[in-house]
Amino acid sequence: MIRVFIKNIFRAILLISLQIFVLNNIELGGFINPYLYILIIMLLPIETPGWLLLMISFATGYIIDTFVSTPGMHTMACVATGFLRHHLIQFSAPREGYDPNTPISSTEFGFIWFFRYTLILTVLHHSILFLVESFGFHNFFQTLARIIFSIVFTELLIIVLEYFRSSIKKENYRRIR
Amino acid sequence: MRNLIRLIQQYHLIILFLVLEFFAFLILVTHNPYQRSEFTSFALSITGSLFEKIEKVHNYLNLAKNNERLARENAQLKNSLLLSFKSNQITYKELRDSVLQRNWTFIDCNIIFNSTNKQQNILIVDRGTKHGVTQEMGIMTEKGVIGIIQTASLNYSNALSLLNTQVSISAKLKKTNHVGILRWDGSSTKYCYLYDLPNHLTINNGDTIVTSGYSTLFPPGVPIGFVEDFDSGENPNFFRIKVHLFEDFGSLSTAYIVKNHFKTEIEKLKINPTND
Repeated sequence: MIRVFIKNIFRAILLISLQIFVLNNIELGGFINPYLYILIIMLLPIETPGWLLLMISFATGYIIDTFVSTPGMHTMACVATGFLRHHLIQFSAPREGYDPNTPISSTEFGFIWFFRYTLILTVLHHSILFLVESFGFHNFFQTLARIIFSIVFTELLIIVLEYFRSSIKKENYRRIR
Repeated sequence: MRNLIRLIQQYHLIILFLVLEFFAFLILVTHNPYQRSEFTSFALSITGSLFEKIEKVHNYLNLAKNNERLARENAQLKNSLLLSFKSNQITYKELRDSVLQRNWTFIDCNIIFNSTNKQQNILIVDRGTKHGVTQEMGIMTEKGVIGIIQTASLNYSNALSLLNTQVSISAKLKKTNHVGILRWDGSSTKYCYLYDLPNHLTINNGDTIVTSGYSTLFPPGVPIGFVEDFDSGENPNFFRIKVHLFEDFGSLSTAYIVKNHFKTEIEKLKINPTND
């Protein structure tokens, strides 16, 4: 239990610093802003209760906001993402329920499932984030372009990171064997 | 109550979600200048249209009161039209000259009331003390003398018509400069009578009678009428001349009030000898 807790805290710190120090400085043509930090919310343990999930989402978004000095924008997007994640996990649960302590990864649920899961959440997060940023539907197509490009790039980063994660896990399996 | 608690338990996640989103939104619109201005303008457009609808209903309910207010305003505007104003403008210029000193001033006026059917007929004119009119001033038209100002208020003056048995005017025969007193006998509006002209004069019908200039009311030579008829009257030494007036008193409209600038000075001289 404590291991899971520490693991998640560590992951959060790592992703937030990666987001703040590296990814926020990437601006490809002004359209592409990858927000990889939403992996914090995506990779929380399955057993996380809904209220805690929402609070963590709120906190994550607020921390990012304070560093990017866009108060409220990431918070709104993150809370919505957390809420959707809760329902998404419940919706896609197997009939007998999840096995306890299953981490959310492509090795456990399959690549297609993982890809779909992350894509849905990314789409929601980015749509809310950019729409709140433009705050209205003027320049809608410009906003739409930014949303789509950023979704692609974020999703790409998530999959690359997941690939590394799963490969590390596989090596660990081999070592243990 | 239990149902409420159950409801909250059932939907606690949605409630929490909405609360958190609400706080996030609050943070968003309070800390971002762009989003705040957009949000306030959006809120303003909603509240604005809402207030407009309320105002429409309000206007409809206050229709009677508004009508009354508009009618009052209309009346006010009509009152401010030129038509409802009496012009206070006076067409004379005052000359300051040491060689020629102004003796008479003519103040144009409109006659707004005129009676001819009484023994003591009066006129009312639309000039008063505001325009320099005081009592004991003459009124004349271009045709002749018509009266004497009796009382003057701020904007209007009351005048005794020449057709007033109380009025007597110093008049003279233009041809010989003999002076008499003109009075109305109270019968016909066409005629006045000139008394106190000595009967040694040769008078013809049609001789012009003008003001004498002895009084302070009129300048000398203002026309009054012409001789229609003459007889000896009660006093055998004097003529009683029937004067046909130039002015038709039934159709007076505009006139001039005659102001004598030396009136008080002359009046003083008239009084002083009696004090001796």
